[in-house]
Amino acid sequence: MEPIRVLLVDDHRMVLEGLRVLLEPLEYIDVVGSAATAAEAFAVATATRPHVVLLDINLPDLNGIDVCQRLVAEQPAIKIIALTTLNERSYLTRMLQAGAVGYVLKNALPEELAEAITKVYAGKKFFSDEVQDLLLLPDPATAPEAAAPILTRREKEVLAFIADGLTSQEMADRLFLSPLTIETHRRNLLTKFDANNTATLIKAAARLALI
Amino acid sequence: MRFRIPELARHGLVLLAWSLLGPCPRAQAQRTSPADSLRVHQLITQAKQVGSDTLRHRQLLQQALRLSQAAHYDYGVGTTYNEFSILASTRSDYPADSLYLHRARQVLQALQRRQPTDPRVIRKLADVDGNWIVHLQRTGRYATAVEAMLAALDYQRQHKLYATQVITYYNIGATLAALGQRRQAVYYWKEGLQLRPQAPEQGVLVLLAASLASYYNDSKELPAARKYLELCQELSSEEAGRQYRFQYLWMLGKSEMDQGHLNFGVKMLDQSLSLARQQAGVDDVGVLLMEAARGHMQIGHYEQARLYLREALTIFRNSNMPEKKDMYESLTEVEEKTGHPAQALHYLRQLNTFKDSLASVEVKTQLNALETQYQTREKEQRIRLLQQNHTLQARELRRQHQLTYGAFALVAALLGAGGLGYAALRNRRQLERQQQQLQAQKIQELEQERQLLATEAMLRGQEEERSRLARDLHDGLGGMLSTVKLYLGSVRGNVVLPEASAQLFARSLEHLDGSISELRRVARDMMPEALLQFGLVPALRDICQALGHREQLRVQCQAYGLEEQRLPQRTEVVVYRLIQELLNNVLKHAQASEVLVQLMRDGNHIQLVVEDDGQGFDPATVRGGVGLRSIQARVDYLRGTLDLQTAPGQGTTTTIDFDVPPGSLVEEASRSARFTD
Repeated sequence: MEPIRVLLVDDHRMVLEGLRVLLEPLEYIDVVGSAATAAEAFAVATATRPHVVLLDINLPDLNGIDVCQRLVAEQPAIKIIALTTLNERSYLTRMLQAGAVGYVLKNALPEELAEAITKVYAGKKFFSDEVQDLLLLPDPATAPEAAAPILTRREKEVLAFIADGLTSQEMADRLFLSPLTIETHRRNLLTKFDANNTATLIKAAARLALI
Repeated sequence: MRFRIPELARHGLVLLAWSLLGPCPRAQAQRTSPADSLRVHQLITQAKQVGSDTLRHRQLLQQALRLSQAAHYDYGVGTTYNEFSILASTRSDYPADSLYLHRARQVLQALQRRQPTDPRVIRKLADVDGNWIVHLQRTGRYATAVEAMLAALDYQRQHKLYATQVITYYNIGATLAALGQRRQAVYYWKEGLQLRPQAPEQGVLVLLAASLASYYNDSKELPAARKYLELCQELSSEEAGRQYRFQYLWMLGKSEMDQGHLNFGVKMLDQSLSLARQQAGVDDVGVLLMEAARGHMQIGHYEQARLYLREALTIFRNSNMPEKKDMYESLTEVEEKTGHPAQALHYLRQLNTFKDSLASVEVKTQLNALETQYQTREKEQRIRLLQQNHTLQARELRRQHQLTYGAFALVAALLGAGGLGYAALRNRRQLERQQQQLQAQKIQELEQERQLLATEAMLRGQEEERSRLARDLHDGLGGMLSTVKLYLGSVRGNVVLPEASAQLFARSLEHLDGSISELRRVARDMMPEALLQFGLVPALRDICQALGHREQLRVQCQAYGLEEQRLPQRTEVVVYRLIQELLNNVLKHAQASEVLVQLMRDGNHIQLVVEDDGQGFDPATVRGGVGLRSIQARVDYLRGTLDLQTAPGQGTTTTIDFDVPPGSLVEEASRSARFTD
């Protein structure tokens, strides 16, 4: 069987060296090159046509996400594993959007790395355990759209008053606030319920059983 | 112009009087030939006489030290070290001063153990003690100094060292005076003067009299002041007191000036100065120069004041005493008055640099206020000019009116002119009042502007530094630790370890893992990469997720209107920090089970709400904590408003409202093309 051709991209020479030392003894892996910058990575990738790229997100010249996007565009068959210390959902989702198929944290053990390389080469996806935890958590980005919007205490009060048909001035008097502040709350409520006017707001709130 | 004469510097200097007790050349030394010891003391006496030539002074003392050491003449060694310390002290070289005194004491104490009753050694040790006290005082350790002095006083009484006692009394008084306890100081000074019969040869008596005269002069008890001033004159005419004659003249000059005899007072100060140049230490001359400069400024001799101040500045160039501020201020004024605006500006800058060097937040705030004052002064001048113009025009107008009225009728004209004059006067008054209000408003605006700029600069510096640190931690240290873990991980597979070692090895790997996670957490808290790259909303989600993940707390985040557009980056960082700090407060104090972070954009208006269902607090009792203050500072930076709704048991809602400048919002697309640089 032909060994898996692997390209290493990281701006720290020490990390590159460490990876190479670990991966080279494995007979099914062939480290075909390494690069410390994005520019180098593009050049080496074109020259060596690797199967798998271990790609650091923090590079001095270009962001790893953009590098990933461009490599995938140039060589659609290429498998990219993000190798990073950044354990954040924002990076994870963006790397996946850019076409990465693996996300491995830098504190991975050698066997984990090797497993990641073989898996993605076989067309599967691979994520470090901690990253999987991250994926399992509910995504706060999609939460507000899916369910009822979350209201602050003040917004709940204002919503109730709106339902009771009070004017902004009357609410201001009851809550000891300026009518201007009440207007802000009212606008925020409209935004949250994606409503154009008070009537649709009341309707949406009633549907969600908030009033 | 305000100009404090530094009490402490004045008194501190005089303390060098310890040195003037002088060595005892007649004394004989054990194991040392009389010729050697005599030579040593000759050298020391010679050294003292060279006066301001410190290089020569030093050479002579070095000779004395070498000679004493070669002859095993310990008393000479101790004495010479003591002399060295005095030399160092005159040059304000306090580290050296301390070192020499330490050595002197070591040598002399060893000697005293061998010869416990030798009066010379007793006296010399008292001198060294005294110089140590001077050192403590000049390096600002007043409390320790007073303690040491009271101890020294016991020692001196016991050994009947009257002359030294006089000095100690003087010094205790001086220190207390420097600490603002002048009434107690008077007690010690009077005690010292009472030793005059026992120590008639003690020149420091002049200083005691001068200090008392100064005290009574300041407290307006003029008969007593005159009495001590006369005593001072008498003492300073005697042989022993002549070296302090300049102190008498100084005092005299001051008191004459206080009584309004400016010219005579200044003349006395000048005389005092020329004497001090021959007799006193440089610090003394420096302070005297400042005092004399003040006098010359008062009588309008700015040129002379300028020369004095410049000389004083040279003397104190390495000093950090607070009086330097006054010096720079006076210099600024004097240079301005003598028509050297460039120099004035130079000193103003120096003033600012000097104050910068005292780098504390408080000092910086003062500095800012001062700068504002300076700028305000400029504005005031401009306003004054405008006012003058206005007055001239008003006068012109009035004259024309008068002429017109004059054409009609003389009497009516006179009356009319009177009435018009009155009206114009009233009008002008009102105008002035308006100008004043305008001016006050301008001052306030300027001040606010300055404060904002200062905060902004501070915040920016902080964030840049954090960003750099975070990146270094993450990329550098984090990368290295990860590599180490990789290496260790590969070792594990290749080597068969005994059970115990294998366990240890596994635990090491675990700890390494923990370290890496911790490092990541620290770096992220410091400056989240995601914030800089993707913006506030994704970073906000990351932080909420991380928190909800870690604590027994449900964190909900929502952002509206910021999906396509990003705030300016600096604003993003500030808002992020606000969220961080508010969440931190919730975690630390609220004991909440739910917290909501909400960010809303409506046009250019942004609102941040952080609301928890925790125990709340009474804002009256917590107001002004460090956390709240730094939150307030950031809100001020955003030029926003902070509203805190809370009560015990009712949760806390923090609302922050601010506007971003129109057009400062950045389209997400255009930013993402840029973030790779």
